[in-house]
Amino acid sequence: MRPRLSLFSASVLTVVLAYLFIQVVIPYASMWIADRPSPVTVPAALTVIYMLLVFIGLYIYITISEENVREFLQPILEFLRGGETGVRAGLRLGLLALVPLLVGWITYDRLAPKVQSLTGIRIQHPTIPGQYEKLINPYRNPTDDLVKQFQQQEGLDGIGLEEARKRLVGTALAEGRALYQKNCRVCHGSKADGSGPMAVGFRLRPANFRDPGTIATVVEAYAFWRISEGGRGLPNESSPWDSAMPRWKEELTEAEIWKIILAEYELADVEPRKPEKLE
Amino acid sequence: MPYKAFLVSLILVSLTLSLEGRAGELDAVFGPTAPDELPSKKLTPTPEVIEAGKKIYEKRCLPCHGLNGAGEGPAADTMNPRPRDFTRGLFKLKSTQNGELPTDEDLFRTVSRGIPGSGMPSWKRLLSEEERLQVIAYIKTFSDRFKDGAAPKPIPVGKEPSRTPELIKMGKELFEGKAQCLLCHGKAAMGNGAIAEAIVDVWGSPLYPRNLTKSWLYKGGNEVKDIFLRISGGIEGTPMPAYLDKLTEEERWAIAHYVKSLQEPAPSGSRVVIESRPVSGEIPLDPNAPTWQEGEAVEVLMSGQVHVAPRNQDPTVDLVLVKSAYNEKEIGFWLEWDDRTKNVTHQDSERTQKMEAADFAATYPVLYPPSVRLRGLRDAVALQFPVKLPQGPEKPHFFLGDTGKPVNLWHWKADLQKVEEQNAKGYKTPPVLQPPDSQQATGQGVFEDGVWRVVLKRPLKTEDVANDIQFVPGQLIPVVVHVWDGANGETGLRRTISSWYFVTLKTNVAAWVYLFTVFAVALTAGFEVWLIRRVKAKPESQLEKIR
Repeated sequence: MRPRLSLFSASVLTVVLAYLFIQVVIPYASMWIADRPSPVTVPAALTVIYMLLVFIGLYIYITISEENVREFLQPILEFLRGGETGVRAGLRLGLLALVPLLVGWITYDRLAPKVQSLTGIRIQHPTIPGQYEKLINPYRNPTDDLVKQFQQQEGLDGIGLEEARKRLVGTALAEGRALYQKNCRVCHGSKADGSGPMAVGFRLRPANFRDPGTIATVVEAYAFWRISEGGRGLPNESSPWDSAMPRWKEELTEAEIWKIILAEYELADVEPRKPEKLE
Repeated sequence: MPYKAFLVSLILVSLTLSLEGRAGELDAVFGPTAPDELPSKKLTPTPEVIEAGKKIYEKRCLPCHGLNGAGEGPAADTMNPRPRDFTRGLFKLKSTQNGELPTDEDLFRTVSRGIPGSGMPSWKRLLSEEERLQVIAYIKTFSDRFKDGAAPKPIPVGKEPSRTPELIKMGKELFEGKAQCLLCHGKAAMGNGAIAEAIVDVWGSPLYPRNLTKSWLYKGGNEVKDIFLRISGGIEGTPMPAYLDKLTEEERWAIAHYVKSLQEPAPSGSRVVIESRPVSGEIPLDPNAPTWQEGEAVEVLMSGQVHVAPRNQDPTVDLVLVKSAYNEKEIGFWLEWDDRTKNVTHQDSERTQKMEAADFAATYPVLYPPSVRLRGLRDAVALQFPVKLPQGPEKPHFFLGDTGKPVNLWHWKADLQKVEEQNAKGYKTPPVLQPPDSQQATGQGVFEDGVWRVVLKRPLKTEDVANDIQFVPGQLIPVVVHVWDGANGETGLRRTISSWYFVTLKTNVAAWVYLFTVFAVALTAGFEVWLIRRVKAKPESQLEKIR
């Protein structure tokens, strides 16, 4: 039989490895996967949950049989019983003294007045208000009426309806790209990656549209709502007071906002979510 | 054996609890500059390659650099520095001699790593190497200068000497003496030299010499070799001269090392709570008083005010350092920020009035008619607090509050050298000045070597509870910093602004905390002793049985 780690050592090792995994492997893996410039730290609350799961798993494993419990406790009992001599006895005493001191330190640390941690839960995608819910982007698949109107405006009677539709979308996209770079770039970045020149100064970071968790998960009407009403139009659970997002309906026309949305998805290389068919 | 199960649980629970205290730290906000990367191949500019480059250019580059590459895209007017005009064939960041074209590698490096402090982002992750080379092939079609195809003359670069105190000393002497770097960059290298304000580029746009202490704002990389290349080749289109023929290679390395030694690391932005220290005695108004030398400052990150028009897309202030101290009567705030120009006059001209009235018609008022710098606008700073201390996370909006949630502002103006207390309820109506008997805040500012240091103070408690924030020790009090750089055309709503930070009045540790700590230690030790006795009381045979 090959030599086996004692259950106690194995448990300690598991805990240490799990902790290292959460603190080192996950941050670096996330950095690599999400294409971020620096490691993504696992939030403290999540670390606690992960570690609790590890402990629960260990607890179940250890207490699965009387045998296991005995094996696990044996080194602890031996340690408590003592009987060593020389250096080992000294180490034992040191460790025994360390435990109360550690408890004392934790107690002090928790009671002494200090800067509170500022963790608040923020809902990233609050529910879209009813009046915005059903809107659709007129420039994504322009209706015949809109195309005909465009033909008249531009004097494009000679070309076919389909060709005119293509040109209308192309024009809207070009205008949208320009409007995006003019109005949105400073925060959301010319690459639509949420890292414009102003982004670092805002603690509530501007949305990264290339992140699959932002505009790719919502319908275009949602983007229209967010752009129109801005940060101040958010419900309280989404901390409107921290958002620098302007209320663009005060400065841009609806048509301009739709064109920006068209360009925003294109620049971010993502597709909007398809609206669900409601009965 | 219930105590065994209890023991196992105890160990697990205590381990979990000890973990919980670890607060998650914020990401470093300034990512490392992308390391140098050279293309692994050359791309022959065939019509297909140029066509592919054109497609990418039209989607990604055109809005700034323009249809014809003249740096006149629809978004160009909102940028300072303006996007590069490719038609002239003048490039700033390159490894070739003054007057020469850049190499393809130079262009590739700029496209890949972007230009900090400008609108140019790093395209390294978004565009593949192939795509970046295609775009470069297309960009080169805008200027006839690239047509003759002769290889540009590189700047000879020998071996980089290692950093020594002697070399740095030599660099400093050259910087301040023979090379006259200080004329533009200033003695402290804050970009505030004697002629800094007069500088204009060949396109007629006013521009500022680099503040060399900010390592995160070096356009062409902040390494010694990058600085060596800039010194040697100059920066074309700007007054930055080429020193290749004027200084020896050793002298240029010396200056590069000296400049490198001036760099400060990028702010981490990880601290959001300003701890106000309890002090005995007066809160000094003089920003250089010993009280303000102590304690660590919080780095408050600033952004241009882009929430409402008129916006500030090209701010000059990106960082304010803040300290605070209080005694039984008063609280004081010490603020420090870099500013190249001291603006202590304020003309109530028609133009400034118009700007203060916030021209809502124009989202981005063009404040720089090229080659004309704005004069007569003051520098200023303001602290903003909620009038009512929020219960829970709910706060007024960080930019001047809302109708239902007013804010209290302490607005220090450099021309008046005094503080005005104001109240605001959102941005649509200008802040209201409080009546004279409610004006209790005082302030004093000192400008030295490209740095403003200002102290603002006010009694902890005031009579005007309806309009003033009241300071209570131990509470988290939200605070926002506003800064105006007059020379940058900042006045009224056009300003730089922080997010919500917090200030807390630190209190001394109460006696009961120590008592509880001692109690916890005694209790744990007692428990240990009991446990050991319990284990020892069991006969040895039981342990044998386990084995």
